[in-house]
Amino acid sequence: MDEMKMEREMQEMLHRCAEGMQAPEKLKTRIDFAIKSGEAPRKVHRPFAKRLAAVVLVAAVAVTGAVAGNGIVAYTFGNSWSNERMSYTETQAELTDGTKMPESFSNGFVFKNGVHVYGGEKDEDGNVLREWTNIDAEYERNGVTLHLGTGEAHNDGTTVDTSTFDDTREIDGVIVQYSADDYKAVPADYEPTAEEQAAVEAGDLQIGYGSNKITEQEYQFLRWEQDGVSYTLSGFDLGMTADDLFQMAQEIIVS
Amino acid sequence: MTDEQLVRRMQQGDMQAFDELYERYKNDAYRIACLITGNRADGEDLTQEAFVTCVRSIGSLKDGSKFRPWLLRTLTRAAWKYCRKAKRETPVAEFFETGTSESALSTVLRTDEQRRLYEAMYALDEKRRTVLVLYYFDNRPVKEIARTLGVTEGTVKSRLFSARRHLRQALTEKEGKPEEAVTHG
Repeated sequence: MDEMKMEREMQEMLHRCAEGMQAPEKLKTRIDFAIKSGEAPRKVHRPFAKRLAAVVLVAAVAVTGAVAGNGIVAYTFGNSWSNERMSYTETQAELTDGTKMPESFSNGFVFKNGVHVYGGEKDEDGNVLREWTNIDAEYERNGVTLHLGTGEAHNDGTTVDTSTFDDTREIDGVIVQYSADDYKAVPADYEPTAEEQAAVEAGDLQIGYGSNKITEQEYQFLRWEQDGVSYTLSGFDLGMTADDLFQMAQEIIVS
Repeated sequence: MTDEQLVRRMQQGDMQAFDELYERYKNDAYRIACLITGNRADGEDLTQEAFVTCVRSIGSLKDGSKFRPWLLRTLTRAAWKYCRKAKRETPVAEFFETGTSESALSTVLRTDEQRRLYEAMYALDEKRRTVLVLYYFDNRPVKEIARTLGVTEGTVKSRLFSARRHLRQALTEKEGKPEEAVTHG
């Protein structure tokens, strides 16, 4: 079959499959019920912690940065993944008061180890505005690794919009934000194409520098702040739904 | 009323505006969801999830005129996650309905070529299959597909290229079998 014919057959095949297909009447009832049984739509302004967490997650990277709209560069300048593996007890001892980090989740994820992560913020001239040390933990289930990041909440929650988040829910009075994105890991000297740069600026693509080779994965991310502590749950190719991750956040929030 | 005006009304809490947007895009979303997942029941679930997610996060949509691609982006992400989960839990042969059950999409196909293309398409991973659906069914250009999926145009082209190659191979293998039999027979 030649190329043109294959293209025509593809179009016809798909249109035949969908021929006469109408969204069932009951679907709107289901949707209305789901909306009413959940929370109302909301508009929330939260900082650029999603992108910050994305760079924090690239643990092998020595120095990375993410520029917020106000010109401040948030960066991760080091971590202890390579030479430190704290046990659950050791990690608990390092946590600031009020920070919650469970030993396991009801869905089977179990604490594997904890590490220190060092980060900070610089202005456009490179002057360090502040630095901090966070505690991150790895959880594992059937070979899948999920990261729980904790640290002091640094933002007042009013400076950056949330246009890159896909879902926002309220759990026990805490606003929890979720996103899923394609994530491209690239070598340190990688030059993004104009398309990629545009996608990055639009919040549609995350690029992590420092990898040995170029890989693309799905990156899921959840963030919230509670009692002055910032939390993130994140991972690559988790194979989990947003509901699964919101459930894990709920377990931490209500604990 | 334009999508932009309806989205603005939604953001102010007017759920009648959502009803109008739903009526406008329910069939597009449902058909695309069914084509990505391969059956009507799952397509219905995913369409529900996509619209509910849109309502819950409508405040984050800056440009209301982009409601349709935003809805489809939410839908395709939900579909990908569903497909990955279903593949882990269900044997592939049972997952994509190729038989004669009521909800199977393939029952309407009339030619061998279309049936082969259908089977080949559902042998692809969900991301390539989604690109095929948006390109050949929804008639969207590469640039718009890239914006909808949140990836670069290069990624869409790459997925489209490898998907077409897979389809061609599937067709060629089937077409080649009788000739080989003659040659060796």
